[in-house]
Amino acid sequence: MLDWERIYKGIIFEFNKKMMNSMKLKWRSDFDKQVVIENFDKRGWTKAQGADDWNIFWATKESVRMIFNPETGHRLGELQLLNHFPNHYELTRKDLMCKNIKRYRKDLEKENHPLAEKDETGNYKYLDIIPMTFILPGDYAIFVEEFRRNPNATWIMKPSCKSQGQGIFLVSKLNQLKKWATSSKLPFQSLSLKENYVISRYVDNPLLVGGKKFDLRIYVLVTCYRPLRVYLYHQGFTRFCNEKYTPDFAELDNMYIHLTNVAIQKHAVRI
Amino acid sequence: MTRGKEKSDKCFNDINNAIYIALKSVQSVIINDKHCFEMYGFDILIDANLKSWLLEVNASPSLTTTTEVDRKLKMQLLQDTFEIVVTPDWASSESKHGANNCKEKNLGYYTLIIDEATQDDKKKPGAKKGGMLPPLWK
Repeated sequence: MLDWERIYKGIIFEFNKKMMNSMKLKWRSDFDKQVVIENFDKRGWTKAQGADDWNIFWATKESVRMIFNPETGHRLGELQLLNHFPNHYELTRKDLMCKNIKRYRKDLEKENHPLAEKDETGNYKYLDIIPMTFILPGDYAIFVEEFRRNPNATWIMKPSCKSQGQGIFLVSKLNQLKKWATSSKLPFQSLSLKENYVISRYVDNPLLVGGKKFDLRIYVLVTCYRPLRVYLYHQGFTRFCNEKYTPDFAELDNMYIHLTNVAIQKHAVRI
Repeated sequence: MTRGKEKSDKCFNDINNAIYIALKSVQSVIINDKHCFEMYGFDILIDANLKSWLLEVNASPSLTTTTEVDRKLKMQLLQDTFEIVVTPDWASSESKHGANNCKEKNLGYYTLIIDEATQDDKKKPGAKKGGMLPPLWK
């Protein structure tokens, strides 16, 4: 028996594919990366001439801020696609991610959601996805309380908005924080919002491969948030530290042991 | 890692779970503009107990390429990304022109791991009995 619907769909699909190939989309990119531009070229898409004359824009975060600036009131056209959501920073800024995860946890707990289930030891079964984290300077008082409860723990300080391992350091004594606060030339409590830091429990028992610490970089594509639609990429990579791992206090300043960021590790010298 | 399939499955589920929870926690605050998509880089650390920890999420994962292998991976990654967000009928009049109208299954190295549009609303994540994780990870 012929499946007319399938055949019809097949014809439409082929037709659309042809349309697509003949359809010259216009691209724009201010993210000056060869792989992006090569991909556009491979598809036969052409570079947009004017600033708004694009169908697909691979933009930097700064451009996204400009595009969605409420003062310009600009809205994307029907045939435009952009590679960031307007307020992507809710997930990608370290302090906001932490705030959102904590809020989500609280909400689930309140409604007695199955995801808020705890195990025998009282830890969340599903919701403990980030190490214990506090936002500084706001959470300083509760951080100190927690610090005193586990005086031997190591913590890691990260600026909220920086990437590639910039400004990160490990903390094992409270006076390191005080020293840091005074060296930033501002009274600790009055650091501006821009200079928010997060301080997290340092995971000091990483899985090691060949004695070295590593982490995974996993690519995830989101095409819609409501309803949520997420794709996981099955090729990723691991980033290794160049030096063997030790939780030794004497080595807490050696970032070649603790941070896997390529930007840090590319300066490491292999002996 | 030679700890058996069960352990590595648990580890993989644990990573999927972290991705799910992180995205769900911002679901209600993100401005869901239909013209937008985002390819994130999730940085995940695995501890000695094979528990995964989400360290951070990058909105612009580095597309700088260092080696030939690296270049191939990132070329393919972008190609597969465009294949999903710009479907063949993207520009046609009956299409909704969003990044979310992928009907074809040309996913490359991607797998659809969360799709609430086709999920039964009554089936709450985690409700699956005996299951380690939300029913999303079939």
